[in-house]
Amino acid sequence: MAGIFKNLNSFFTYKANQREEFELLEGADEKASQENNSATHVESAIEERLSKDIGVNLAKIKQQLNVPKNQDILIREFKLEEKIGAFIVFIEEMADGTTINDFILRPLLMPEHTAEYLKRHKKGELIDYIWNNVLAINQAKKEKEFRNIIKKVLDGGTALFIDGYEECLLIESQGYEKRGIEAPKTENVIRGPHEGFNENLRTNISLIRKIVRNEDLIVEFLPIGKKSQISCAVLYMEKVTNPNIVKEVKRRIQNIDIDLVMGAGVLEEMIADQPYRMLPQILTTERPDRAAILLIVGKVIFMVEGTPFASAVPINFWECLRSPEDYFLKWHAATFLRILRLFALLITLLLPGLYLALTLFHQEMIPTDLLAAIAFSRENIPFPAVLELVMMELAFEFIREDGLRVPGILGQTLGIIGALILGQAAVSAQIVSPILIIVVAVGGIASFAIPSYELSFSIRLLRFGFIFLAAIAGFYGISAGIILLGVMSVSIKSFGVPIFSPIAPKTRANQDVIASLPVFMQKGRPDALNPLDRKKGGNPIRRWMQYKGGNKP
Amino acid sequence: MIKEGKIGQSEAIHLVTIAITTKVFFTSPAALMKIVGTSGWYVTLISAAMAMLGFTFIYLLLKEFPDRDLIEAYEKSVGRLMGFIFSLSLGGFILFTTSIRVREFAEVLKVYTLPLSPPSFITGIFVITIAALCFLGFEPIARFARLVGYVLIFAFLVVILSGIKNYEIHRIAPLFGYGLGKTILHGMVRSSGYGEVIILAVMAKSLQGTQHIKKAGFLSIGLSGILISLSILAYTLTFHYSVAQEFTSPMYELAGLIRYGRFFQRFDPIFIFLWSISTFISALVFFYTSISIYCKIFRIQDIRPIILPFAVLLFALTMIGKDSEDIVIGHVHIIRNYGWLFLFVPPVIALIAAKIRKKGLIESA
Repeated sequence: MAGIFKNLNSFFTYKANQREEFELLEGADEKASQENNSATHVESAIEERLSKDIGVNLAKIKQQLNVPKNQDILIREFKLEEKIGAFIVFIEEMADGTTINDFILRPLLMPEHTAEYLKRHKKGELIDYIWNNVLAINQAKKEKEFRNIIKKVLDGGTALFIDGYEECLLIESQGYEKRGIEAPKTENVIRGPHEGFNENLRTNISLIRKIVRNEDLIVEFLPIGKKSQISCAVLYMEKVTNPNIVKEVKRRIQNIDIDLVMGAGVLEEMIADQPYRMLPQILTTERPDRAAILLIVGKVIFMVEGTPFASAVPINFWECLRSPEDYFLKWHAATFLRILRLFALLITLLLPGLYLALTLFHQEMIPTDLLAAIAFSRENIPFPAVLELVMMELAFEFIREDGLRVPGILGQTLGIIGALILGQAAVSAQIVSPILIIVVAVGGIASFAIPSYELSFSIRLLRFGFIFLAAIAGFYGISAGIILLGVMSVSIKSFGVPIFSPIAPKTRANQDVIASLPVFMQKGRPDALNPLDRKKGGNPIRRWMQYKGGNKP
Repeated sequence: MIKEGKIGQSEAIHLVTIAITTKVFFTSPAALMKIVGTSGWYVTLISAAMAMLGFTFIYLLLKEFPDRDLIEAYEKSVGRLMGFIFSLSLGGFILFTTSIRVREFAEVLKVYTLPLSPPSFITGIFVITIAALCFLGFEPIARFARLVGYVLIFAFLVVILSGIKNYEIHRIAPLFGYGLGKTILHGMVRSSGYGEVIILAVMAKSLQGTQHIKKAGFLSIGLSGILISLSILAYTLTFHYSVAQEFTSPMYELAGLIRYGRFFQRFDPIFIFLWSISTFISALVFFYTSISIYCKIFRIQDIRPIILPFAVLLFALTMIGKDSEDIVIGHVHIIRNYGWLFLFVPPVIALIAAKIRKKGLIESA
């Protein structure tokens, strides 16, 4: 009850908008670049440090990791040269057993490896000596703070503690099970590569690095989720991407105060500019090649451990109509496909509503032959057109949802059989008209042509809104819906970039919006991103055109 | 502080052009034909020229006060009280024009497509929609106009060009309509038909400088003049002038006559979307401008709390007209014939006052 009064009160009383919007302005890049490099990852609190007494460290580690209650956390105590106490801590199945046994424990337990050093230097810099001469491991670092040690161990690393030292050695030993690299499931192409991301963050980064072999590709790791501490990698091109965008992405990710961020989907919702709007403000891809293209044009990519997708910001609406296939086709084919997808989007959104408006309000606008066909088919239908349409749309959604839930080939079969039998039976039983089945089916098929899953879903939901508006006011209602949706959509920004740029607002000409010009004419990066380097190709790109007879002039 | 956002020149041109040309879909062309006969197609060009002249004074006034909008320019030039009166009368006129446009739209819609729906239902949906969109600010409205601008112009030209086989060149005669004097006089008086250009001056801070306003203003009046003239010419060529005077929406009738083969018989569906969307944009920007003027006059920092009361006011104003005839013959006629008094006269007075004050300051220095 109190909540209702609070809402009513806020409706009638004025409250100033406190939220400060992020705007991507030109000229602020340099300042942001300096700030970005120096102070973005400041740790405010000084964490608890290691003790020289190994017993204290062991007790602290056991306390922090809840040992022995936590039964998959293994602590192996041993003595170096039979006198210096040491232990390693790691998590079973998160760390690789072979690495620990053969390349960490075996060398450490062989006295000849450390005996010579201890004879000459007593203890001195034993940790450095072990790292330089004993361990056959490619990556490790010294660490003094418990918080970072715990984080690394939880990530599959191994921590080596030695008595008398206020620091430990964090050794890379990740070895958890992961899926191999497979073909992308949602972004299939005919001519492009067939590699997709998997759930392993490091593998995904390596797939991108394999394409973008450039020292300017920066990868920064940020932990997200207070309890889960999942790694999130932020990738960008140092001399290309606008530092304001990088700073803003990192600021938003670092300021999420929640226990668990279960993958990129949740993170996207947390950091989107306008999470209440339906249109996507972040672009996801499961293809390394597409992620690489997005990086090169000046976007920031972020990937979350456990999610086989990369997310790119800022984006525009037109990018949601692009398929990875476009990059491997000639420009005229790509342009045709994009126009086709735009048309499919409009059909998905408006066709059911238009049908309803025509049959309920504007019969005089239907050509006579078509009107007769619709009238005959609806003659014996007992339901009003709106109910008939909503019933069939819901049936179509049920079939689609079942097709996803029912495993494997059975799902596809269920979809086809369901649609065929249900449609045929409904027409035979004179519950729905055949024309309506066509309208619903065409709308449903068209929705699959939209490459972005998020956009497709939004359009499917919005379609019901248009059905409602068409039912109450025909074309006028649909027009009201178009203007509502249109103005609300153009007001959306993706990390400061208007989502309908470069058309609304008009920014400098971009050769790859709906119509795609030939690749050799696409010299510039999107103006709306305010990249540090505006050119992505030379002038001309095809320099060989200037040479005659194959010789340089 | 009122945060209205920034718009580019292209967005401004699209927005103002759509706002001006919308009236071609309603009763105005038929009313014009009733007054000047067959010369309507160039009467509107005379009105456009007059509006350009009026806009020149507005531009000169803004040039005197760079980085200020029209409301502030009024206050700076003629003082707080007179500026208040000028601004309030402009705001009131714009709100009244919005209400008449909404009602005119509802009446025409009722005649052609929704005969059983009461006007309150149609205007109710309209007012709710534009009030909701006002919360998003001025910038998205201009952006949407830019986004759909080309589509609307394309659809408009499709309707005009598709009717080409119904055109009869002899219907344009007599060329001077009911007489050259009457034609020119009405052309000059009806300059308020292009009065929407004043939006640029009220929203001057959203545009990037006076030069942008000048270019956007003249281009949008010019483009609108061509489009309106084309449409009036199209239906002058299609219908005999005595018949055309009787139509509620001549453009709608024009679209209904299109026939190519058995299937492509009528282009009304294209027309309805073109008509509704451009009316929504036009009324939306006018409604927003009236709220913005009110907030600027009374130094209200946030327009959001004002939207709801203004929406109620707008709905009440749309319901004042008794019927379609009352709206068309009474209210629309008043707006077209006397609108220039609110739109173009105060800027001239303000400009003269600004010049005198400036001269006085220079002399006293």
